[in-house]
Amino acid sequence: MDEKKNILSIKDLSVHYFTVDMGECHAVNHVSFDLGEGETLGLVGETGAGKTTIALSILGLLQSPPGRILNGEIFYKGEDLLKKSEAKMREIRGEEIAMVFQDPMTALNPVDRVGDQIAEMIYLHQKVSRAEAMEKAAEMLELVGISRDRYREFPHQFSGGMKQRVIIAMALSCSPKILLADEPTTALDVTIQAQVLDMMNELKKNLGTSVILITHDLGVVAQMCNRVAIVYAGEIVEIGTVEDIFDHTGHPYTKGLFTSLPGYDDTSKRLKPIQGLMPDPANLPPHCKFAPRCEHCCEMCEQRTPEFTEVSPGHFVRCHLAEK
Amino acid sequence: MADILEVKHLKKYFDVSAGTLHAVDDLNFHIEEGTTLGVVGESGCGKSTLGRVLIHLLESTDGQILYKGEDITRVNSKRLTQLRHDMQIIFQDPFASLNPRMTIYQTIAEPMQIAGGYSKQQINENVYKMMDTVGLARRLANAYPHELDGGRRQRIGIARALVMDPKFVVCDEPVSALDVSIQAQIINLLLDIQEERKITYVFITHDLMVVKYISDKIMVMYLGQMVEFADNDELFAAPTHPYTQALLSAVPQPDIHKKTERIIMKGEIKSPIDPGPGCRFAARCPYAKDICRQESPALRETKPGHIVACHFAGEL
Amino acid sequence: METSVEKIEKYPKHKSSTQEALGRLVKNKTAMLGFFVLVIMVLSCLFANVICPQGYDAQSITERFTAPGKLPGLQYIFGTDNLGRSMLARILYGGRYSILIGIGAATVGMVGGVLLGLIAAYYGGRVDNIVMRILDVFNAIPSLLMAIVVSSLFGGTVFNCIMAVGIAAIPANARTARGPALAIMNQDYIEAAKSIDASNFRIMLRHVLPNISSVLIVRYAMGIGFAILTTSGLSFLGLGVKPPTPEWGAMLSGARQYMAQSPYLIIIPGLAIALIVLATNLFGDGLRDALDPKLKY
Repeated sequence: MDEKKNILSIKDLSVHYFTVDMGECHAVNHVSFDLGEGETLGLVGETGAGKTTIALSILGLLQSPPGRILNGEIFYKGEDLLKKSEAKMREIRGEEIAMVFQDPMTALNPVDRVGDQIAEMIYLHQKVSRAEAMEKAAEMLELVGISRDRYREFPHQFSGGMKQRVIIAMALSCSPKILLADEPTTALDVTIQAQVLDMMNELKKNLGTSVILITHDLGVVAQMCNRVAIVYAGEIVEIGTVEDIFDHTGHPYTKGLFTSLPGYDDTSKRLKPIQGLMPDPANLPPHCKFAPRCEHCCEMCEQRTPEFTEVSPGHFVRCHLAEK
Repeated sequence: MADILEVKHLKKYFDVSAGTLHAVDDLNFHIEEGTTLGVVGESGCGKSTLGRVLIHLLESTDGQILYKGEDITRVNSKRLTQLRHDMQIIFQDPFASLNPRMTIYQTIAEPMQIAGGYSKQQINENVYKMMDTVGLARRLANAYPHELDGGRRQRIGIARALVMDPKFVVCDEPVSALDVSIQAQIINLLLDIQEERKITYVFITHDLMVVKYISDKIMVMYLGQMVEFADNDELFAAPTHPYTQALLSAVPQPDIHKKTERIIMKGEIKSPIDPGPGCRFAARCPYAKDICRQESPALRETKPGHIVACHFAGEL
Repeated sequence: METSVEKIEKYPKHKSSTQEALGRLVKNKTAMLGFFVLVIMVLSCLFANVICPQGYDAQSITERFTAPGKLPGLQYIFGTDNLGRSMLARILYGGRYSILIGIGAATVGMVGGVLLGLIAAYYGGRVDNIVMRILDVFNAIPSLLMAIVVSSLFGGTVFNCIMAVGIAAIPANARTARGPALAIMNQDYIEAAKSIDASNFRIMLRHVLPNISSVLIVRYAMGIGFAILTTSGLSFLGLGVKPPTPEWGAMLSGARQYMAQSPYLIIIPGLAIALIVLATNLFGDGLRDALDPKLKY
């Protein structure tokens, strides 16, 4: 792989939620990663791991209160996004960095024509006339495989998969440099998911957009991503290329994710789940966050926090076992 | 082994403002006792409706359901009460399927209180035994659902379904709302329970990997109809219906070396409201010919036990 | 393994959502203020015979129209009326009726409304249509007008007052109960209850009612205040409780002719009504905030 420039780099990001009932929730803890130009990075983890919080922090959409960014820097084009004003961020959102949300049913305005919603987005962000925006919107619809004849239809006339394609068209309408896709196909059926993923791959090839793909589905990751970051309890426990993650799995949690999948090991009569539950984010284990569920847990894991060790170039693992 | 359930020409239609919705349309199949029938299909194919019709949560429109040879399509309330003990259901959403105002203990005890004839001590005993079986710590007896995570809530739902010792359980997407690591725990639990109690499952899901793992036989549904029915191994080795083929090829494999050629379907999904004649898959089928749009394909047995509803079954 | 028979009491008790809500309620200052005002008013009315042992109709001709504070002694603290009766005694004894009618009418309205609302939501379809259309007809008549019709037909006793004001509140309460009940009917746990052969009655009582109770409790608290107001209105118009029974609305009405020289005769019962309605509303508002989980933080 040739060396590429990083378009986005996150350094030591920590986000906590302060709630009355639960106390201080450590949602994201010291997360750092880079996104290369034209690259697709998968953020993989379970519910409550902090994936969506990371995405919202990048866009400056974190609800505050209860959320608060404690420290960290998010560099985009050499500037720290966290230091930008709300007005500046509004320009960056959509124009430079766009987001696709999980639920296609609620992300569109039900009383506005589909085409107009895309045109609105273009009109707001680019110096074009209304007519030009509408023409561009029709082009975007065709780009995602929807006939321009359906420009004047309303969201309820579209199926779930088509709605998600409209949302992707909207996100890409201002040719953003980075696309944040939060579980873009989780709500869709497999055959529709296949269509949407194919389309995303195609668009990425043509437009050269960098993508951060948030998902829990390792199958989707295998199909879409160049690099993968595994998130557990607000930390990145492993990061590397897809080959690193799938062929040279380093962290016990990542291994557990694979063995939990039905069909991964056809020989055994039972699945091998990860024992126990995700730790309470208000009350995390002091050192290795995975130690209480880890089958390789030893004394050292409970006494010392593991380093983020580079096991091979670009492949980092946060585990004592990897240090040796 | 003997069949526990046989279904003949089962239909369930709903009257909606736009016409008649064919949720389940002329299904024929049977399930052997102690085995698992996987029902696969995408949203809106009628698989959940089928599960509810089988256990009498919905009345069928037409057709017959035979339970151990007895026709239970129309039963009186006394027999229905007995059947409720034999036939149970596990729901998809572990958040919506539990009454937020009832403790774990109350939820699991309720079926016995309704049935009557249990002493307080017997109920106590059974509830705790059930909690042990499904892996819920006894100290949680007085906890409310909102205090627990999805996996534990799903265990409560399973305990409630199993406490009357049913013979036949419909599992309606019991793991699709759960994270992978928790999903594996629940699948293992369901398998353990089946081995121990010889329960028959109808396992409804959209997840082909899960269905492959848990089922003996698999039925693929499309818009209310059965398009393919076969043994687990046979279906995955030799999918015959074009829809099954597309479905299997669409599943993203968690493997970067196995590059499957995906069949991408074009076209709109036909409406299940008054669908009319012709193969319902024709509009999306890459092989569709004129006959497909005019005549409904009959069920054909391409190999013993492998049934397909396609005009060109075996030729594609 | 431990023996399988164990007492449930052995295990730690958990807080139900209602208990958690009570915890939040206690922390709400305005709600608690309303609550204490209510408690003080209810208690002093209950113990009216202890505070004013002379009763509400003991007259003293020599001390008519005594303004509050003119004469020493507890019974003159609010002064006396046109017949020289202690205003304090009349307010306290009258409060008994007002509060009794308020609670009684709110209860009648709530029980009737919940019953109809639940039945309409549970059975749906034609039953729902019939019940709701009948209630629509009743809804078209203003509730005060309804109450006037009932009490002028059957006469102004306390019981008739309760029924008149209570029945007038049924349509609105039925609607309040039906909406959330319909939402609950779509939840999987209702289907789960059917699958374990729970009777319709059991499902309504154990599975639907507890889950809509927060809305109903708030409505009930507010309903008491509203019923007191309506009752006073009826009495003011001469259709409620008849003299010499001291009802707050009737007292207001009776004092109209002396308003110019002795305004306190109007101000005191007026304040009593305003205070109790304000207190129930403050408390009801606090209840809603405590019970609505969306406002958790």
